[in-house]
Amino acid sequence: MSNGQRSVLVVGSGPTAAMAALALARSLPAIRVTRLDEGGQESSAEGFGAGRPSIRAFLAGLGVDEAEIVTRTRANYRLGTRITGLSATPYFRGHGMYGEGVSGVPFHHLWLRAQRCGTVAPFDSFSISARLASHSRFAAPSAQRESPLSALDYGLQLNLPVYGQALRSLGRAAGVEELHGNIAAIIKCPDGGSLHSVKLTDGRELTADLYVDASGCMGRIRRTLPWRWIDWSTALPVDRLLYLLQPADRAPPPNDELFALSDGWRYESRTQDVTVHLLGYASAHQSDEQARAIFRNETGAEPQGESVVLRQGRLEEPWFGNCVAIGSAAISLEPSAATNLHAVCRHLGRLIGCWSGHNTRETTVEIAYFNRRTALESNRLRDFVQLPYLLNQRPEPFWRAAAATPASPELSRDMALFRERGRLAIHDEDSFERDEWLASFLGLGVIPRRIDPPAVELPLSRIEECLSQISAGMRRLMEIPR
Amino acid sequence: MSLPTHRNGDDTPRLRVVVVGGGTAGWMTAAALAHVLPTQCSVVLVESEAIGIVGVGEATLPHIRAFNERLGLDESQFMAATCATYKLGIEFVDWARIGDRYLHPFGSSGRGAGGVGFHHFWNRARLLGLSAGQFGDYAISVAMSRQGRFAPPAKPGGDLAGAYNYAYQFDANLFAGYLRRIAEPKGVKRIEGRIVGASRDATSGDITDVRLEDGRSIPGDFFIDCSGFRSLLVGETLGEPFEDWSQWLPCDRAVAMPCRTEGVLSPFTSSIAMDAGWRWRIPLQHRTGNGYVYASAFVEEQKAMDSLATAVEGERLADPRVLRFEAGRRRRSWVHNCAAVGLSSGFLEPLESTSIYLIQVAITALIELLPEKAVAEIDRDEFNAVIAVEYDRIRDFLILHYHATQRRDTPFWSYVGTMAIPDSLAAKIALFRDRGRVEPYARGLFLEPSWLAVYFGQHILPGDYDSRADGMPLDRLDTALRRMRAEVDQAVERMPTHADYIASHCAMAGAHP
Repeated sequence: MSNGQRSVLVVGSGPTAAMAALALARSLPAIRVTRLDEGGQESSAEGFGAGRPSIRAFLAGLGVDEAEIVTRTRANYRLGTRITGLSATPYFRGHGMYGEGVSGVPFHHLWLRAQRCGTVAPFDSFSISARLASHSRFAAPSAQRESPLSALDYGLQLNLPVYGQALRSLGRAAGVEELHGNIAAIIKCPDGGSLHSVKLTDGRELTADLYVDASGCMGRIRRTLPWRWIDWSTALPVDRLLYLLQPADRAPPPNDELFALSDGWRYESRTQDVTVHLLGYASAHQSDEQARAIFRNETGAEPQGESVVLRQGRLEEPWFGNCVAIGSAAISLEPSAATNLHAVCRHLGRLIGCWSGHNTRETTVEIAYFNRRTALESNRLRDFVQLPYLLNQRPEPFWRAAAATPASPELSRDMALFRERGRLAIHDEDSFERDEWLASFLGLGVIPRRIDPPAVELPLSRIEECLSQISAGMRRLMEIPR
Repeated sequence: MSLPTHRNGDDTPRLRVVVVGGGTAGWMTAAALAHVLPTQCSVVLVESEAIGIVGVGEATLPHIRAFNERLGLDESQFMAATCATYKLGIEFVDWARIGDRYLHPFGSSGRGAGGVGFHHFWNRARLLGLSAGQFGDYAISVAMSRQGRFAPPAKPGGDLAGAYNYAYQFDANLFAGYLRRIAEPKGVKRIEGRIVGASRDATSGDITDVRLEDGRSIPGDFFIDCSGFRSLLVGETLGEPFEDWSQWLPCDRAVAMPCRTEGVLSPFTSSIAMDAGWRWRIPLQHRTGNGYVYASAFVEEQKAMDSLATAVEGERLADPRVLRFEAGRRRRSWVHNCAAVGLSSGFLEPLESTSIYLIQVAITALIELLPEKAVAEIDRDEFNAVIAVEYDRIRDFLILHYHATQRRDTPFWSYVGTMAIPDSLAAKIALFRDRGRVEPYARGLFLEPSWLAVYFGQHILPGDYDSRADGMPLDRLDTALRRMRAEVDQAVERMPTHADYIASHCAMAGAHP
């Protein structure tokens, strides 16, 4: 163990860098944290502020008061995403649980059995998150097991620039040193496998034990070392984004919206003050001009700036030597499944676990662990984002082509297993709740050919009773005036 | 909704399931299928009284409770019927060094803080020279075991007093009989007979029926091979290859010999290292099971028998019996229309009492993946994936016990202490040695508390700890550790002895409390 104070240099100007600096400073108080801010905007591929429940866990883990962040940054609660136009009926991909099973039978098999025997309310209607969202309401989860609200979970819709500011000020209070300057050169160690220092244009030279690249998809410093990007463009066709941040025109609903269009999708999310409009499309199917026309048509407004180029994929080894890429420097995914902030939270949690020893230089064992687990997680995120493309029911060439692209062996097997038996295989580092996978499969219209055998043994009356009890509980809840 | 006239709303006839073999695996499978899926399958079980059952796995893991619960078994009645005792963990004696003793408890040690596991605090205290005691000193089940006490855990809360679970040690022969008495009234048809072969469909290769010595043939749609080591259907008939793991797990014999229970009735199973393997000690109500699991390459059979006879504490109740086996598993457990459950699918020595657990995993998967008359490839693949992960992860955990020895006093211990280990295990150990991290997995047995117990119990000590544990000043750490140890001791003081608890809750017939 070394007695010298360990130091870390975080490079980046956006929320990812602010999160990284704050998390390192709060979690590892003995280390010296410096954040280098080169100014300018973080690439918008960073994400548009949609956070899964992991963002709340992240804040709570750092002792940051969620209510205060929501009030101060005028954020919004986020129960999930309503998805329209991919299958016959819109569906909701919500956080939290979708009903409870009985006698060892998972809930969705109760639902499937009832569905097979006659009409049953949509799967969504058994999700408290979906119910609340459909009434544009929000409530905090309950600790009372009998309350439908005990199944609730939620994320946050953040206004990223304001959120970034709030975290930067918390970071300063936690001892983060902030430097503003521009990088003139990144100096490698003679072995070529690690960084020696970062030279600024004003002549300053910064050194650290660990360099955290939180600079966005350009990978400002991590790129200096051996760097291989694994391209996912075959699986995920969208490679262009148009966006607009508008002042809010109404009270925000507690969910975001995804609309499938003939050559891509439109996405809308709201904080208290700002509405985010996004258009995702594939340059192979649509020109930028066509996309701008569609954007205007859909939103009634002009997009901000030019189209953003999206290179979906992941970095093979996010951590190399003494430099680790996090957030969109390590993984780039379209924002349709709110995976961007989530990846930042996961990367930071893992990084702190792996860099929590007393040596200045991290061991290859920890680095290998970080890269191995991050790869598993990233691939699973990709699979989740790809699922709606593979299972969509739209006729247009863009969508037919997307449905015909190959899936990973794991996802192919998952789809086959669900189609046949309604069963979900278990995967390591899966970021999504089982109910989110179920909501996706069922929402996209996949009805398994067979039902869980134990569910077949349950008397239908018992199942009906169980389903109507859940519905009644939710109805009673909705009758309470807001 | 209208009520369907048939299950599934169709006329699918019941799947004719034939269970081959009536030991623990056979009767657990038959009872579970008949109880959980009564309208979807008919169950025939073929067994021969002439063939004895192995009856290994007298010691179980806490998962058995979920199995019993699903079958609606009453705990006291079941325990009385199988002369069962409670089990809080497994004690390992002389493994890393002669004179060592630690418990792998069904429960966790200590209480962490701020998202940092307790073992980092303990390791910090140890590295800084505080008197932190043994890792197990912070586990309630360890204290209960040391003092021979038992009480079921209260509802899990934050306190250490509730941080444990329990399993049973029972007579596997009695368990099979008990399950038979439950299964037959539920419709399981038992056929007495010795199987001589199986017929297969010329086109598909599926098994169509099993043939008995007396000329009868038992047809079925789906066959479950519970024939034990012989692996009659999956191994012999279908020729599924066996993956041999004896290079890492060289023990290939066991000599078993029950004796009278004497002294304190331990609420745990013991695994005591011997010159060429290890010896189990499983205290039941009516006897104590003993056995020496050894590697025939390192000790003669007679010598093994003699060593066992010398070691057992009480009066012998039967002559020693030798079992032969090979560590490993069938590459696939489910082939064509036949799934292996239990020893026919593979064998891992009973060092961590995993035999019945593996049976249970297979049964659960079979229930969820009950095939149609024509088996779908995807059912088979999923079943085989589930089983393979379980076997492979248990394998690594077992190898750890041998690899982490410092003993070089016999050729056997020298061999296992220096042999090459699977890469998957080497990576886990490297990660732990580095900073005490246990690689998590979403599927499979043995989670962090189990790995910690064995690592620490066998002196694999990380050179560093999570620096977030530095946040607590040393004097406060010292106080916190003392307080936790006191909390454990106080909770145990109030508990009855294991023997008293059994006498008042689940004594076998004819027992005199």
